[in-house]
Amino acid sequence: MEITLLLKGPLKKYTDGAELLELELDENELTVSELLQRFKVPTSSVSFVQVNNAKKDLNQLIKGGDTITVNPRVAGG
Amino acid sequence: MAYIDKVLRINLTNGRTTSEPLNKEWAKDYLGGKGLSIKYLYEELKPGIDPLSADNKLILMTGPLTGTIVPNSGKLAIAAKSPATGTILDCSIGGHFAPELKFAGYDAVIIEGKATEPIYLFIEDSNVELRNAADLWGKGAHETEHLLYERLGDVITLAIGQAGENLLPMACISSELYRQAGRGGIGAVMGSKNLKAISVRGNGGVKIPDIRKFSATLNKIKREDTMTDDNMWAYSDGTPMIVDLSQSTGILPTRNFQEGTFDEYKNINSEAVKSVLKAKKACFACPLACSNYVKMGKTEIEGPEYETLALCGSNCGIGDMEALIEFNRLCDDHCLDTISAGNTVAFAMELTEKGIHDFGIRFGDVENYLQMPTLIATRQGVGADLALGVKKMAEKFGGRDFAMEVKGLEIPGYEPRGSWAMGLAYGTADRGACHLRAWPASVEAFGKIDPFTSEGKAELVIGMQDINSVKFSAIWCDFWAISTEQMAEILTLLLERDITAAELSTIGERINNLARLFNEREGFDRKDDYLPTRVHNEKLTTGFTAGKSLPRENYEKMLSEYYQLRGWDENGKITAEKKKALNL
Ligand code: SF4
Repeated sequence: MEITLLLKGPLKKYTDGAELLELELDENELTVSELLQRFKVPTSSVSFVQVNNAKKDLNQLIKGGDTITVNPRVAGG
Repeated sequence: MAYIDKVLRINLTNGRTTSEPLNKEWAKDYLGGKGLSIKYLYEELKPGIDPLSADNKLILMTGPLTGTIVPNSGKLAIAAKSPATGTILDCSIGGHFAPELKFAGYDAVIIEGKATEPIYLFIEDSNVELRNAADLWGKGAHETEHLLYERLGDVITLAIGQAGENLLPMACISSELYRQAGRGGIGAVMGSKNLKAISVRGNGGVKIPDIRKFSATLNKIKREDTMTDDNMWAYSDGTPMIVDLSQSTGILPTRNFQEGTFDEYKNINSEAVKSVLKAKKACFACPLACSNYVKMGKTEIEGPEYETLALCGSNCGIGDMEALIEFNRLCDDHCLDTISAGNTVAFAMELTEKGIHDFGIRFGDVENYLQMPTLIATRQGVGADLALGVKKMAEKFGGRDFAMEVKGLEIPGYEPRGSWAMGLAYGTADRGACHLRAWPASVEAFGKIDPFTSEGKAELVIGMQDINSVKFSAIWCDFWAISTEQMAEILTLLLERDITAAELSTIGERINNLARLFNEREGFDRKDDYLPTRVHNEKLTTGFTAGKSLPRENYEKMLSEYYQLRGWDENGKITAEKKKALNL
C-alpha cells in the first residue's frame, strides 16, 4: 500500500531531514507504532499522531492512502 | 557563590539609591527570580495598596543561575502587585538584561516610590543615575531603546511604550525590541512611577566555585539533555509549531473562543512563519534559539509567537500573516501584551457582531484590526474602551458570559474545553489566566492523557505549577524540559551545598503557597478561581472537540481536589498546618 508520512519539527532527523515521505509498503496492514519502529522514532519523543488529520493512538491501523502525521513532544509554551 | 549578595534599592520619590545584602535566609527558601521577588513583595507591601500608586514596588530579580553558562538561564523576573488583577504578579523576560544586571554587580533592583517627572535609570556597575526622560516620553519602546543605545553606548534596556505611560492593564515591558515581560500590566507599574526605561551595562562577571567540573558537567548535560528531541522543536520551529497541534486537537481559540478550529489555520502556522523566516535568535546562554526573526512586506519582527498567532490571529478571525505580523509589531512597539490585546479586540468583535455594542470592528476585518493597537495604547476613539481590558469592558457593556478572563487576566491560547487540566491551571494560576504557571495541554490535548476527564488533573497541575515555580526562580526558561534531579545536580554545583530534587519540590510548593497567601491577604479565595461561563455552558461544534464543554460540576470537582491536595480548605484558604509545614 501507499502512504504518506509527515514527521514534524525535530523528528525529521529520523528520515535524514525529510519531513514528508511518500512510502510504498509491502504490507496491507500496519499499526502506527510499527511504522515508527521502522524508522527508529522513539515513541517517548512523540506527543501524538494524526491519521488523515484526526488524532489517533499508536495502535491505529494504517490503510492505503492514509497520511500519518507524527508530532514531537513539546515543553514550555 | 552564584549570588552577588547585593540588592540595589532605588527610591524614586526622593531620588535616593542604596545597596544592601541579599536576604540569604529568603534566598535559601525561595532561590531567586519569581520566588524571591514574591517574598520581598509579601514582606514589604502593605495589603490593599493601589498597584498604580507610589506604594507599589517594582522588583527586577535574577537567580543563582543568571550569568552562568547553564543552558536557558538568561531570563529575568520582574514582579509587582498587578494593576490588572490586584494579585501578585511576576513576569519573565528573556534576552540579555538579567546577566548584564548581574555583571553590573546586583542580584536584584527594588524600585520604590514615584518620580515627579519622566525619568530613566542608568546603571553601570556602582554608578547609578536617575536621568530626565522628558524627550523619551510619548515614544514607542523601539525608538526609546534606539535613542538610549545612541546616548549610552552598549547597554541593555528595559523600556515601556505608550501603553505603560497610559497605565493600561495590558501594558508590558519590552527589551531588545521584541522580548517582553508581558502580562498583568507590569508596564503600567513602570509608567505609574514615571519610569520610562532602565538601561544597564555591567563590566564584571559571576564567580563559579569549581569551573572545570562545572563546565564539564554542563557540556555533558547540554549535549545529552538539552539538545534532544524533547527540546529541539524550539529550534526547528519554535512556538508557531503549536498552531497545527492546537488545530488538530480542537483547542485553537477561534473568534473569541467560539470555536476550537480555524479554517485558515494554514495561513498562520509554522510553515507560514518559516516561509518569511530570516534568522533564528536566542537569549543569553541558550542553545535552543526558539525565536524566529521574520520579514514580510515592510515589516520585520522577532515573532510572531504562538500566543500571538492564536489570540491575535484565529481568535480575531484573522488569517492574513502580513496583517498579523504588523499587528504584532505595533503591539511590541506600544508595549501591549498580545494575549490580552488579542482577546480584547476579539471580545469587541463579538460584542459588535452580537449587536450588544458597536465598536466598528468585526471578525476578520483587517483594516480596522490594524488600527487597534495604536488606538488602545493611546486610549483614543474606541481604544479608550478597549484599553479597559475584557473584564471591565464586560462590566460596562455586557457579554459577561463570553468575557474570556480569569481574575481580570485574559485567557491564553489553549481552549479549556479540549484540555480540562488547562482550565484548572487557568483557574488556579497566581496571576490570573496563565499558561506558564502550568501547561498541561502539552501532555493532555497534545499527549496521552485523556483531556475530557477531571480524574488526576489536580495532581497533574500541582506538579507542573511547583516545578515551573522552581524554574522561574532559579531561573530557567521553561522551554527546556529539564528534570528536577538535573536541576538539583546543577544547583548543587553552583550553590556548594547538597540540594535534592525533594528540596526543590518543597521550594516550588512554598513559592505557590506564598503567592496564594499574598492573594488571600488581598481578599482572593475560591470565588475568584472561576472560569468564563462560556467554557461551562457552550459546546464547541467543530473538529476534535466538537460537542465538548467543561461542565461546571467537573470543574468544581477538580478545584476541590486541587485544594485538598494542596492542603487548603474548601474555600481555597491555606490552612495553619500547611503554613507551618512550609515555614510561611
Ligand atoms: S528557548 Fe527561547 S525564550 Fe527560552 S531562553 Fe532560549 S531563546 Fe530564550
